[in-house]
Amino acid sequence: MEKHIISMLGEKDHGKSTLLGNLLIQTGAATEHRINEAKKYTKKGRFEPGYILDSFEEERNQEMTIDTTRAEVVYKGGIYEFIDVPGHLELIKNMMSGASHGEVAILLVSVKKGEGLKPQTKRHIFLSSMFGLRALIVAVNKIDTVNYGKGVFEATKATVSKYLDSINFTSPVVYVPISAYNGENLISKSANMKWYDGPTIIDALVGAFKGGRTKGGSGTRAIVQDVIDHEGKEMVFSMLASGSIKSGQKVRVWPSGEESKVRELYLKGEKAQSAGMGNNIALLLDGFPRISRGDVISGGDEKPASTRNFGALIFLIARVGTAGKLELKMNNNAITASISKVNSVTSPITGTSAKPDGSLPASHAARVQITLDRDYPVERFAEHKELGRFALYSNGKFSGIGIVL
Amino acid sequence: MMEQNLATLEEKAIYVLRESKSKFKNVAALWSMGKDSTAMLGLARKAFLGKVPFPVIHIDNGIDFPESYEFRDSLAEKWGMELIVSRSEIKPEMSGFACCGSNKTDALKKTMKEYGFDALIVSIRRDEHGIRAKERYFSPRSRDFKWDYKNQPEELWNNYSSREKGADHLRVHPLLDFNEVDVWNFIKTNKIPINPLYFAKDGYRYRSLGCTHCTVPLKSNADTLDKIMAELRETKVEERSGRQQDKEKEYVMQKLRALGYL
Repeated sequence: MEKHIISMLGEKDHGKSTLLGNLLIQTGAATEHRINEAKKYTKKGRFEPGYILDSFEEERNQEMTIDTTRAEVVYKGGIYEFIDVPGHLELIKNMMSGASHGEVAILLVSVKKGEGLKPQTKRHIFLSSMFGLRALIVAVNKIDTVNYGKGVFEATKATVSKYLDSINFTSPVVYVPISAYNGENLISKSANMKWYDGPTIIDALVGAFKGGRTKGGSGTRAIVQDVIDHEGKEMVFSMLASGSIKSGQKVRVWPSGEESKVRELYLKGEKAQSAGMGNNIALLLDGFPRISRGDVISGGDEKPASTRNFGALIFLIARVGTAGKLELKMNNNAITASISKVNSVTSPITGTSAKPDGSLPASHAARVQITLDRDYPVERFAEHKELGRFALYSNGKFSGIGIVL
Repeated sequence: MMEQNLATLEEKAIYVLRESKSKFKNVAALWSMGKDSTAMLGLARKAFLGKVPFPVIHIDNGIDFPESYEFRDSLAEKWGMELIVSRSEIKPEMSGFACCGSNKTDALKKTMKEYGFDALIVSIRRDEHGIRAKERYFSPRSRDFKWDYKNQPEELWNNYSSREKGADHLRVHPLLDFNEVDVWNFIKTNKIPINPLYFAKDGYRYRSLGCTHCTVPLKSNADTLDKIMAELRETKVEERSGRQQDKEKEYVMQKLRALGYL
């Protein structure tokens, strides 16, 4: 079965783990043993379905998610794997680690008095828009606390929609009114919300994944992992991030730009004629071109968007100086770089602009020009995701993420 | 439990295995002769053009099943693997937590130090336990092998941790995405030799293998790979229900793993 990956987003206590816990119970995905184990920790006579996910002792005692976890549901011929993430600001790096793997996101927005669209909710939305999403499902939660009011649902929908417009969010969005705790509108329609004629959470997910797998960019791009000696042959291990490759075809190696030809191609240990997107291959190349880890192999007539200078959108989780050196991590390679120009700095949370005064503040997005210290092939994120995104480090500290524009 | 797309799972595992060899100087893998670590070795042969290019460590407390020892020696020879046997001593007063926690971990510590390994491939899966579902693909362990689960490093996309900030070694988890039934699907599809204890005999089979002291078989008539897979698609029983150590106390898996347990 094909597996679809969904990340959970939203402020702490807006119901991410609870929604997921009840989804697991209602679809029969949680074993009785696991439910009973979670029930042992019931407090004040109120069973918390989120405990099925929150397995750390500290998580149950403090009633919060500390680190990401994954759980699956099998539904209508597909496997849906959910990544639960912590909602607390200080745990943002754990949230990002989880959310970076999601193709579709479920965003929890609680309508309980005093909750609503919080700064942290906005932070999660903005980050996920940078990760690139096929679709966003907004779960308008705790609707039971406002008497299942249609008016509250519509008002929340308008608020979230206005915010999404303000950050130019382009993926499709579906809004579903739910009670995560009561398990309403998760799998089957709630009798308490007859006014709602849209899909349940699970049906919204089925809809979001219609149309098959996410497509790759145009052209062939294979990321080199390693070059090894195999029985006297120099074999190049690489991951085909997009396109296809054939035995005998002309290729180019970047950043050097040297031309070569595929003499032998191996797929899962066996000699093969061709390989496609997502395959981890081994190549024997003609003429021993200069090649090492981090290089990219393209089709013979293709070249990467850049190897030195590019524009990028970055989002910071810590303050970063603009004068010093930064480190970009792309496909597990660290590349030293500097910011050559700052074009704009805005807060996607407050909507206000900031002036760059030698540093970029946390929780801000910036459009910048980046210059690498050495040649390294990069692509526009919109074309080739794998080659157009990076984690940003300043003084060895994880400080944000970026995408190549 | 339904099978996931095997091709996708294999690609991810191959990528992670190759990444570990490329990023680290001295890699080893743990091999318990169970289904998961044996499947991992089959994946390594696919990743590295038919070879297992790293030594495999068996932590041997002397009380594994006779079938396991026999299986170990024959497969190690067949696949040309460099086998390191790391002996741990069982003391009579030990059981469960103490045995799995300190005894096996101490033996592993000694071997890791002796050979200077900086990365250790461990075939855990997310679906085995709530605690294992919280693991990263590359996870640092401190000098005393502790897992700092409250402060795990970030792991965005495929940017994995390196050996830094006082880490003793990295644990590498290529099978994290596999479910139990996927492991069997891989074994069946790729005709991987497997420990005979998993197949039912006289109405019982082992679903999860520990040592003879702490593992009990479960009622089953599944004596073929197809029957095992059919059984798993329907089961409501936890995989590790036959393992004593998990049951002794609350949060025992969390505590074992924090101390360096596998």
